[in-house]
Amino acid sequence: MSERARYDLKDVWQTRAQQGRRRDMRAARQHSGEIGQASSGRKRVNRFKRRAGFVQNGERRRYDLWKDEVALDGARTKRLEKKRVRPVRIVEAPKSYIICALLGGACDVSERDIEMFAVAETLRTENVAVLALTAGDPQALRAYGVDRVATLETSSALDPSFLNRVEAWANMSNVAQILLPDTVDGRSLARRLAVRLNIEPVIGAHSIGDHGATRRGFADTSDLSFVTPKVITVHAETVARRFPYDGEVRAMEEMVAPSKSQDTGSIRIEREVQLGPDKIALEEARVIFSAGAGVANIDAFISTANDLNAAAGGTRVLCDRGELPRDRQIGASGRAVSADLYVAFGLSGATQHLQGIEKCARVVAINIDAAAPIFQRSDVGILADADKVLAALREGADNGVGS
Amino acid sequence: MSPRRVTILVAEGRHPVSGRSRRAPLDARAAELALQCTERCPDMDMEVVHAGSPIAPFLEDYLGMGLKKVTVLHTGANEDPIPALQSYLKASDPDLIMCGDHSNDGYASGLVPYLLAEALQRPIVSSIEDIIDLGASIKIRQALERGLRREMVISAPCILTVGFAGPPPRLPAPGKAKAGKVTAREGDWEQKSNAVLGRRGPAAAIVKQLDAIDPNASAEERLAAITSAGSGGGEVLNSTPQEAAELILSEIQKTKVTL
Repeated sequence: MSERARYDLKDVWQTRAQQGRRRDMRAARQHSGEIGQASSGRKRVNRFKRRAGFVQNGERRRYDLWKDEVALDGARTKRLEKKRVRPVRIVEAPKSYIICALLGGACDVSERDIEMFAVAETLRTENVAVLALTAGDPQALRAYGVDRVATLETSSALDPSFLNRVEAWANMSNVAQILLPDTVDGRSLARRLAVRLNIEPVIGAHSIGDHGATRRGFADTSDLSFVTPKVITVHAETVARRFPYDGEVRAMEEMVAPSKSQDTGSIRIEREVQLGPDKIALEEARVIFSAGAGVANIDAFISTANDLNAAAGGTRVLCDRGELPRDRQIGASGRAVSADLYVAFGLSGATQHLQGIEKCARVVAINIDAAAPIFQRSDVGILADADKVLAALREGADNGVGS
Repeated sequence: MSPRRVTILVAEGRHPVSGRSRRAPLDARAAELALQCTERCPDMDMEVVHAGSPIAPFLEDYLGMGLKKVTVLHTGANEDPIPALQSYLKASDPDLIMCGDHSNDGYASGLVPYLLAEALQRPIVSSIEDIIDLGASIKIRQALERGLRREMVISAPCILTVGFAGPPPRLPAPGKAKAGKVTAREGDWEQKSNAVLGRRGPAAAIVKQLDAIDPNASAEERLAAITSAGSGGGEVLNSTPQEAAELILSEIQKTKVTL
């Protein structure tokens, strides 16, 4: 093909892409009745329609031509939602086990637990089964490729009987690894277990795979590699979370734990307190309220967030304006947060912002623009004015609904 | 009876960039917390113990904080400090042993306090932030993830390790460092060389792994996997501000249930 012909082809492609975009826009405008087609073929703009859709939101002008309808491209969302049925993996007679111990009460599987199962998925080879020790619902672990489950009555890291049980499982002859979540309780349990088993634990491994496990040591200046680690806690984001198979979650019979006495009964938990959202970093917050350019009254936003015990964050635009301190910026150039609940007020959801909220479990978005990309990320979207919703929230909080 | 004798275990730290020897950040926090306790209860007797060389210059950093004397259990450079500490602490039997969550230089796996807890049969609590009350039983606050704090009661004798949420250590004063005293002890403990545990190499950059993307997915799906991970594609409601507020409050309520 000659050089010239290749250029032509490129032009054709570009034009087609442009044509496609134009066609989409035109379809939207025709659908809304904003433009029609005169018999002469000339485009006819319905100015009344356009004026009716005019939305003034602060300094920004927008035309909401879709009015009450939601401007989500049906075909696109349908394709993304396409349900994949994952096969169930069955390991009938495993030659060895990778044990994952879940700590805490009978609540949901936490982010750290999911990361732990992802590590197990990376470490496993042919005929290796993942065994989860949990006090919660075994069925919740199905999606994380867990083959066997042993249900314990307690999973509190401070309970000596829990340590005894984990040790009993760990002492099975065919245990390859024991994984624990990289939390204060998880690390503590890993160290206790390592002392009992007389081995070196790998605490806070940052790299894991065929080579073994690697963690920092010597004042963070060196890497320490362990070829056959037995007890491991793993940092966040060390392995990609990928679960190609569903687990069988077959129940395993209870091990008889040796009754070892250790004087940990003298530790008693009085109470647990949650520090205020303004006292902790955004990354640590469980509930985050985030504001964008659609929020006019920032002081009211911050006070509402504080009243409802949510951390206040915002987009780059707000931080650039100086309305929020820089350490409250969420997004690619700010903080990457992992809240349980993320409420986005009047922010459209630029790609860089969405990168910062990737790890948020649940997203609620309030925006006046139905075409805002945040609605494609949100679990619940609300087409409303952010300032009005904040005012209503303040009233609701005053009436004691939220507390 | 309130705990009268407190032993702080200290070790060597290293500056991560210059490599210069200095106090270990977490052990310094433990020392700071103990110093704050002695300011509250002046009859408390505080001892600082280090296993290693008695002429190590970083000991001045600890003495400079206002710790009056350091007992050094003289062990060799490649010697396991556990037998020395174990035999010394068994003999001195302090009410409270404090140190950092993990050391700074060396393997830093944080196993030393746990090995001592097992050997001395004492309860241990890690990552503490503050000692609230030093009474007949000790009330402490443990710093957990996500701003969660756990108040616990533990009875002496016990071991407490201090995490990064502990009080920031005071700067060492050279005058105090000169006034401090280092006592070396040669012991009759078992001499054991440090086990070689892992292969040591230069620190490689930590690569954060993005969640896996199905290679068979379409370009659009792969783009969506990078730009908008997690949930999404939920319903969009056209509701009044009051309804929206109620929905947000109920969502907040739901997160409290799963705590």
